[in-house]
Amino acid sequence: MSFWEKLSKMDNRIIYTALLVIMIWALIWPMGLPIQIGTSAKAAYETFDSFESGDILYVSFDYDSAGATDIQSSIEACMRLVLKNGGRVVSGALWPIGAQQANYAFKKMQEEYPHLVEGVDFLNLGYKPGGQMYIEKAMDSLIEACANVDNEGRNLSQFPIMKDLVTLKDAKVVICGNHGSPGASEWVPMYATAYAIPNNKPFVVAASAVNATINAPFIQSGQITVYLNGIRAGAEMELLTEKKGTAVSGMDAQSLSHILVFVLMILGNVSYFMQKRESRKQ
Amino acid sequence: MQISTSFAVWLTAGMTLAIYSGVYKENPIYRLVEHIYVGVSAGNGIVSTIDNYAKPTITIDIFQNGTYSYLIPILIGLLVYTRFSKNRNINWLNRIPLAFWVGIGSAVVLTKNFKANFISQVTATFMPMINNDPLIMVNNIVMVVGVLSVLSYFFFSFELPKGLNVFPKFGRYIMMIGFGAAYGNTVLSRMSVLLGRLQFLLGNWLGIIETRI
Repeated sequence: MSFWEKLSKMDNRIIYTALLVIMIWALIWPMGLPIQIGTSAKAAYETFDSFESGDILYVSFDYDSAGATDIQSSIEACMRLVLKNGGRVVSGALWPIGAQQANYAFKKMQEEYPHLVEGVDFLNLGYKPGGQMYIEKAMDSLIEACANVDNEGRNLSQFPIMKDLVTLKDAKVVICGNHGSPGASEWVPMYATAYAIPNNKPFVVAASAVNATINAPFIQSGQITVYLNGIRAGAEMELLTEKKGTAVSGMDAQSLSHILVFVLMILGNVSYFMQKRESRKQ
Repeated sequence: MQISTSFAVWLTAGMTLAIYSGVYKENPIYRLVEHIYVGVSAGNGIVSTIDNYAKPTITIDIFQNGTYSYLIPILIGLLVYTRFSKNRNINWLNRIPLAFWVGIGSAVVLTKNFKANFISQVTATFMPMINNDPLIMVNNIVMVVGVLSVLSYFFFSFELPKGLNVFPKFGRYIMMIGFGAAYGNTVLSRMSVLLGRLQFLLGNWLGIIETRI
C-alpha cells in the first residue's frame, strides 16, 4: 500500500485526536491571534449603542446548549450594550431550552449590573410554543401570546416593564438567536417582512454558523438588517463592548481547528490525484 | 481557578465525556447517555409547554378571566386523539382539527411566507447592471447572472439551444460554490460545539483555563 493510499484510508480517530490536541493546546496556551472587527459587528454595535434610557430590546432565545457557543456571546454583548445605556431587555424563547439560556444571560448581566431589577429592567418570558403563531399573536398582544405568565409562572400584568411592551411593535429592536427552526425563518415573514422593514426598524439575527447559507438570501434582500455569524461575531462583539469572554478566548482554538481541516482537505485531494496517477501508471 | 466541587458540574462533565466516547467506539455508556438526553429533551419540552402555556391558559384565561371561548379551540384540538379509536363512528373526527391546521397553514403561507420567501427574494434580484462603482457593478452582474444560471439548470421542459447551454453549466458551478460555503459554515459550527464543551471541561470542571479573560 502506497503512502497516499494509506493516507486516504487513515482512521478517523487519528483526525479526532489531532483536532482535540490542537484545540486543547490553543485553549491552555492561547497565542492571541488577531481578530479584526467586521462590518456586521460594527453595525450591531451602532444599533444597540443607540438605545436610550427606557428603550426595550426583545431577545428571542431560539437555540439550545448546542448553539450556545456560537450565539450566546453575541446576544450577551448586545444585551450588555443596551443595559449600559439604560435600556431594558425582555426575552422569549421558541425553543424549550432557550428559556434556560436566557436565565444564564440575565444572571451574567445581573453580576455586571447589580442595580438591575427583575420585572423593571429585564424579564424572561420563557418558552412559548407555536413558532410563527406566537409571533403573529405577539404582534397584537404580547401578554395574550404568553398566556399571561412569565418563565416562573408569575402573572405578567404585575411587571412594570410589560406596561411599555404591550406588543412586539413596542420593542425598539428585536434580536433572534437562531440555531434552526423555529428561528429566523419564522421571524422573517411574521415580524421583519410584515412590520420591521416597512417601518425602518432593524431586525437583528445572531446565528450559529451552520445557518449562514440558509439566512444569506434574507441578508441580501435586506429582510435581516444585521447578521452576527457564529462565534467569530461573538468575539468581535466582545472586543467592541470591551468585555472579553468565551468567544475571544476560544478564537485561537477555532482558527487552529480550521487550519487543520484546511490542511486535511488539501492532503485528501492530493492523495486522490496521486492515487489516480499511480493507477494510470500501473 | 480550581477543580469544581459541584455535583451538577461533575455530572455534566461525565455526560459530555460519555457522549464523546462514541467518537472512539460505539459503547453501552454512550448509548445510555444518548437515550437519557433524548428522554430529558422530550420531557423538558412537554413540561415546559404544559407549565408555560396550557396550564396558565386554562387557569388564568378561562377560569380566572372568564374567556370561555378558548374552550372551543381546546375541544377541537382534543379531537385529534380520536385517531387512536378503532370505532369508525368516532375516529373520523380527527379530520376536523387537521382541516383547521391545513387551512391555517395555507393562509399563513399565502399571506406571510409567500411574500417573505418568494416575492422579496425575486425583487431583491432586480439590480442595476450598470453602476458608477465598479465593485457594486460586478457584484450585481454576478448576482443576476448567477440566479438566472441556477434557474436555467433546473429548466427541463426542452433542451436549451447551443449558445445558451453554457448557463446551466455556469449555474452548476455557482451551486458548487454555495455548497462549499455551506460546508465551511457547518465545519465552523461543529467546531464551535466542540469548543464549547472543551471550555466547559477545562474551565468549569477542571479549572485549568479561565473562560472569562
